[in-house]
Amino acid sequence: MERGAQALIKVLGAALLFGALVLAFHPGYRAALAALWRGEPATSPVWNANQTYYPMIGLSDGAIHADSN
Amino acid sequence: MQTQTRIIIFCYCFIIGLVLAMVWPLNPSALPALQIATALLLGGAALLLFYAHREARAETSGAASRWLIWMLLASAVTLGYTRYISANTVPDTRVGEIVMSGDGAAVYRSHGSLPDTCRVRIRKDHPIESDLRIRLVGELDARIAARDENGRAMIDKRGRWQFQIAPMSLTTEVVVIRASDPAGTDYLVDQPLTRITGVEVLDGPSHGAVTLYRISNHIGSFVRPGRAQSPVTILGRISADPLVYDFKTVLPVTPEFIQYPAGGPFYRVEGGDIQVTVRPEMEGYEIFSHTSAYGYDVEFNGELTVARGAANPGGFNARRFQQNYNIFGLVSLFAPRSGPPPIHAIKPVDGPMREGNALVAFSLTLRDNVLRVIKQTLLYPQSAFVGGVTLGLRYGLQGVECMYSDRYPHTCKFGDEPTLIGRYCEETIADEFKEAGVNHVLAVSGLHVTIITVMLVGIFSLMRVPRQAYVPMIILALIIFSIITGARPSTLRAVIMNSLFLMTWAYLDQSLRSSVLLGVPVAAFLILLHNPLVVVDPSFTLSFGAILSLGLMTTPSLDLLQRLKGNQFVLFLLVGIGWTLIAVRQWALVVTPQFIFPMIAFVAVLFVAAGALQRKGIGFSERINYSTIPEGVGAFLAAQFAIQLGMMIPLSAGYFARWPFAGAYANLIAIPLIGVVVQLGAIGGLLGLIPGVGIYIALLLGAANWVFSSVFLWIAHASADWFPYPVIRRPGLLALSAYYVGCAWFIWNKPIWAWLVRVAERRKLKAPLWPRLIASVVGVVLAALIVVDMRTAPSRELRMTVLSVGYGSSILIESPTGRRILVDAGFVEHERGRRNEAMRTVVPVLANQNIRHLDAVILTSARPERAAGISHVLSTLWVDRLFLPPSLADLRSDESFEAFSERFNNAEGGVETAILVNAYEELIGNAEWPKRLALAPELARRAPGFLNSWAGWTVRTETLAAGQALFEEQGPNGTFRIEVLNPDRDSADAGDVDNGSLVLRVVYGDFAALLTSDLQYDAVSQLAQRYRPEQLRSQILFLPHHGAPLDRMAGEFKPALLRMLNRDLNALLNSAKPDRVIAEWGAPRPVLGLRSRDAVTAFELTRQYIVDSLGELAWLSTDRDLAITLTSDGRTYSVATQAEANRAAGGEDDAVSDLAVGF
Repeated sequence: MERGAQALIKVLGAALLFGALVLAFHPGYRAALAALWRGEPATSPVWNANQTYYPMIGLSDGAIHADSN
Repeated sequence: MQTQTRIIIFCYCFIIGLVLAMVWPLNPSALPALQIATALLLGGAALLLFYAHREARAETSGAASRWLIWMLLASAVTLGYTRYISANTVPDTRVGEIVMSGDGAAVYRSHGSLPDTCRVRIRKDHPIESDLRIRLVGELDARIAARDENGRAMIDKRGRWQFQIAPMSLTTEVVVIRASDPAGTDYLVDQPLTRITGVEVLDGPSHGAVTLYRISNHIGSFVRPGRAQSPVTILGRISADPLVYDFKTVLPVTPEFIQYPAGGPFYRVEGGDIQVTVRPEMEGYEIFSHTSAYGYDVEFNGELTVARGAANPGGFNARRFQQNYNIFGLVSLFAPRSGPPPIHAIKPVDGPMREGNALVAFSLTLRDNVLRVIKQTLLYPQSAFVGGVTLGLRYGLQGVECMYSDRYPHTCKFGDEPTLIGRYCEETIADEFKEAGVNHVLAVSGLHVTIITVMLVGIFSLMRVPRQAYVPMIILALIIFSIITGARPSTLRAVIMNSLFLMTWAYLDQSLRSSVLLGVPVAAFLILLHNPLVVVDPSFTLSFGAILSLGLMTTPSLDLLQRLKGNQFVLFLLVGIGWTLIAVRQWALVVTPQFIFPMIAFVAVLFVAAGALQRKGIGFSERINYSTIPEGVGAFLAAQFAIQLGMMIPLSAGYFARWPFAGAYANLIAIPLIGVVVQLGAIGGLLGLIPGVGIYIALLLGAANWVFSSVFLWIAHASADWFPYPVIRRPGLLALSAYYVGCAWFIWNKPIWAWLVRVAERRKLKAPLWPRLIASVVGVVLAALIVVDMRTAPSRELRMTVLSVGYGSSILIESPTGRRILVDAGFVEHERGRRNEAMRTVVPVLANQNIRHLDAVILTSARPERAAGISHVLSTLWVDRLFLPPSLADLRSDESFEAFSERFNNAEGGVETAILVNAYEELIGNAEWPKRLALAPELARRAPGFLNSWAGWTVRTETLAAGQALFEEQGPNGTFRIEVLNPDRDSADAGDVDNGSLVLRVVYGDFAALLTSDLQYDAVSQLAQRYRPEQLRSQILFLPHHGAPLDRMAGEFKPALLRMLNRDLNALLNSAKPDRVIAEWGAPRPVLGLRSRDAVTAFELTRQYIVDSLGELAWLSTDRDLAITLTSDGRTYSVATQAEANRAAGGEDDAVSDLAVGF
């Protein structure tokens, strides 16, 4: 089972390289990287594509606690 | 015997006891005796264990060891049996009896005090001479909620709700126990009591006795089905994370007190959870639509109802499913027009808001944060997929369209050209996964937990932490993972098993196989001990089926495959490829006996011939064999083979009567791929939480995972597109048992064979011959049991099952001569709720009755609520003949909309274009959605040809008109036939969408049912005039147009309808003289131009008219009574409804009785 560590390293390394390739060629991901770099994650097309998916999960912990009400 | 073996035996015997309780349950009143017996047996087993241990230490073999195993078996079976009965019912408690003393007085004998404010019922156990009129005398400590200045209930920081107690003496209303009522009748005492001090007899017999029971304060006992219009107030606590949708939030709440009825006292609730639905327009909604709401104390006011039972025979029973997870009530809250919202989070008077369990709260917050990272790093819908498989957020995938939908601008387009395969996809991801047989990846299970375990072991190994140190940390992480993913049985099983494995591996240095053998039964025991009702839950059964198949059947599968060498191995590959190609080309063949049996014989002959040639040195070298496949790949393929054999084929058939053919192929790629997707999702999600650089690493991993997820979704999409998802016969308990006996033989074939040989030798029989003979006999017996169990004996009576398919129609007719005919196929809605009644209801109901073959389908009208499902029925079932109204003769898939409209243009008054457009799309096709099923292309696919004819897959189309009679055959008590009464082939109305509908009269002996399809009332009147009353006479009348024909009313709506009812419907009632009238109607909602408010009004006016004319009992409808079954022996007939069946099964009845909480 501990041999899995080596495999994990390889998978992660390959995934990082592969991810870099996707970032290089996919305009949506490029724009997402740029938005994160600018500190404006709300403008990221990746984030915006997920607007309808679990809308209560915002960019910050937007919970309105009953205490504050 | 080793301790481990004893534990394994104990756990399996516990499950056997549980199954026995399901099959042969005792009355809940036997529960105390069962509990005592269980305690005694467990105590005895513990004592014997102690003595056996002493004997072992003294190295003597005494009686204790011999008896121990039997005592363990008995105690485990009894424990399982008792646990199931106690979980399945909440019995009312006997608290005393009232004994008549002979002089008109009565004595109250208490058997115990009431533990709290309770409701009481009186049971008449034995007959009594005369009516008994009594009143109970006692005291009530009425709880009144303490309220703050805002009128809200108060709670302290330790979670104790604040009440004022108002003690009062109470004499109840008079309870009349009638002598004429049968023994066993229950009588509810209207007032609650806290103490019973005596009884007052107003009138009664000189002797006799009745028993008093305390009704359990379980939340299920307060529930009322339907709209009771009696809101209750509940004080409770949000017990799990809210399920947040974009249009509602569902709060799981553990109720603590309930005010029942409104204005009454508060009762302390003794068990059961409820689900509370809140909506965004409600003030304060945002407090509840977030994970932080977990643990809040709440007060709310609303109607406490229960989920619906099965609407059709064998249909999905939402109530039962929820109760298996301890949910016994539903409260749906809406924003009031004025005033405060109906739900409040309650802050303790002396402290901050209470929160839930710290570990759970931490886990849920962690989940939200990881989800936030996923939303920032993965495009939609891949993010929904990764969220589902990594965090168990399965409901986030509900209704999510396939990734090739045009809805997703960023995800599936490479340049301007959108997709790899097919442009038009309207299926949901969940549906595609189901069809592709990879749905299991969405249920977080052993696969996911093992992936996480291996990942964590890898991380700790990299950090060079000793395994003894990191195993507890991994177990804690797995517990958190199970909480995050909802702690479903499959996850719990996997977490318990992996934890056991890790502990035995780290501290006892044991192997994986011994760990599986121990872990599976222990995990099952722990889960079922906690909640025995999940034993039949697919999530539980499929999970354990998969792991047992993997653990037990992989090695024999590998042995079998490794026997294939040279010619036989090549032949095996060719047969596999050929089988697949045939299934893709014409799936009906591969599940058809006329193909399967000759093909098995043919393949067997080929294998024998291949072996013979091999022995003569002709053909392929024996070096070409299964072992030449790389070891890991070979083992993986064998494991897949084992899972298909042990779990997928039998259990998928048992639960769903479907077989995901693609699963065997799709999983070869899907399973390795899901490992990568889950690991990247989990690692990326966690790394993304690191401030600063974390989100960039997560974006890189997310980008890679986007590709892997897309590939996974594509595999599911392509598999669903290419491979069939056939309906197969549903095996019963006998067939499944026989199948698994066969599996057991397969698993332990070597020891069984050795034993048979030993027995043969001992009895001086020819060794290879007799064991083979016995094996053959066993094989034949098992096969015969399976065939007998799955055979459907034709009924000797006429049975008509009117399915509850919402707004629409579908009726199954089973004739006394063995014919099976389906009249209409239900509605299909492609947009909005994607409601496909043909696939959701009609086909499953037929499959549940093992009906795959229909002698005929009769489509009575082109209206979508009757016709839309026809192509789906034709794509899944064998249908010999299809009967259509004249207006639908000679449909062609290249027919233009204009030509199609022409068919109906001669109708007076015409028909709404929307109806025609919809009918055209369902019957001819939709150019925008070329893959959507429609009747004409489906008929073309079923045209006569070699493969279709061999599979019996051809269908003959005929049009019907008045004067024809179908299936006229002699039954045991008279002639069966279906008469066609409308339309006249040459009349102007024959082309009318509504008045050209087929009107059918189903006749058997003296019984008849008149089906009026979509006739408008003017045609109803003409029908009554055209035929003599005896030609229309029917005990059952199906109302035209679902009971609300309002399309062609001139003038003001209500007077026009009343005029039509009094004139047209009355004429038909006078002729047909029905006993009962059926309205095929679902939830009143606008469908294709039917205006909702008008439809409801029309329906209510029609109902009232029928009730006034024929009486209340004459009215039946598929929304209230659900599926309706009419049975006739040709002389008499009976009516049974699914609603009655649900009430008989318990939980939906106002009657006072023990609460049946499971099944």
